[in-house]
Amino acid sequence: MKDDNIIHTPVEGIVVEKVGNEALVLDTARGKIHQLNSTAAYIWSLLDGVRSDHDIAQMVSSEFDIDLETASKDVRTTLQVLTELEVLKATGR
Amino acid sequence: MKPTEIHSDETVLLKTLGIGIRIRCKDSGLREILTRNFRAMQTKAIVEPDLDYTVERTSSGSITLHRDGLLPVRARMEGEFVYNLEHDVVIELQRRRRDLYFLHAAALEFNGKGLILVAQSGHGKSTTAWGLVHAGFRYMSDELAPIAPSSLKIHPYPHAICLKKIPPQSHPLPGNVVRTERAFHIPTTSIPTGVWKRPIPIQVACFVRYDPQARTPSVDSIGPGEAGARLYANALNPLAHRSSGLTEAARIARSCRSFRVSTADLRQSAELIQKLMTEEA
Repeated sequence: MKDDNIIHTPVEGIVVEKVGNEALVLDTARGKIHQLNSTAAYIWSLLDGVRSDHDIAQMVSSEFDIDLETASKDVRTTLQVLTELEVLKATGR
Repeated sequence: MKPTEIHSDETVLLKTLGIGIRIRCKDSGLREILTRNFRAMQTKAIVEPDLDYTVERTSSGSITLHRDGLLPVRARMEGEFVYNLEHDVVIELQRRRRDLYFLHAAALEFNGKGLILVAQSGHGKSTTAWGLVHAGFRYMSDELAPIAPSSLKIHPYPHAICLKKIPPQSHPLPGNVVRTERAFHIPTTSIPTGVWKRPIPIQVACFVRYDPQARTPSVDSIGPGEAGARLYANALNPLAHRSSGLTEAARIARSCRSFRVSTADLRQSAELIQKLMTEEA
């Protein structure tokens, strides 16, 4: 599936709290807490259930003034890790 | 008007976090242990105890703890009995003071500001607290730091300092220490700087870990994100609060400076933490 067709959303039971420019993600179902750095927290803040991974990469590219390819790689890596941690799930558009 | 319970020879009355506790105990040896362990919480009279315990020592020497709503808890020795009692008190405090955010942490006062030492059991909270009360800090707790989320102030829970091991020679045990099979309980009357009994704002949070291999203590500043995660991991009643207690952990983390402290020599470790408090002031 292409990035512009993938939408990531938090799974059920996730509580998020912004702390400075970072964020804490509490997985109430598994009793785990994850600390997101500022970039991951920014990416997380863009997950609105509508934006695709590609949309988010474009916004990251613009926000951090980096090329789209680098931004796409960062976004993909971040979302993949968070999906492996079972705090995000991927769906098709 | 409810009846007033006056302290009798066979009763120990305590008040902590606004909760009145009556412990009826005919065994003078056990009462002495209770008195030394809870001296700073003792009160002469309470109106209708919130927690009402009865302690009995059987002919075989075992000690049974009774409370309404609690199945009898039997201990073979004094240390286990003190543990059983405190365990129940701390759980009941969490049930009855759901407004407070309970952290598994030591708490001390320095120049009117609060310090919390956050760590899992066995990582050096109590020993570090014992070192700090010899460096100008006043004692609030070595185990339980109840924090009011509305004011972000720490409340005292000043039971005896409970050391699992003999402290270093530089900070010897006092003569009136209570020795049980589990721990050394240092009565608050032996704390050189005394007990701080009022809520105070948190200035510094130290996440401590004793490193027996280290020659000197070390400190690293950490951001509110890591501090919030660590605070949450050491919260005892997060689910009593909104957002599963994450909001409170984040608020506390944002309100103070946080450090990861690797402790070593006790005097040097206390001086290092004292310096942090002084710099932050």
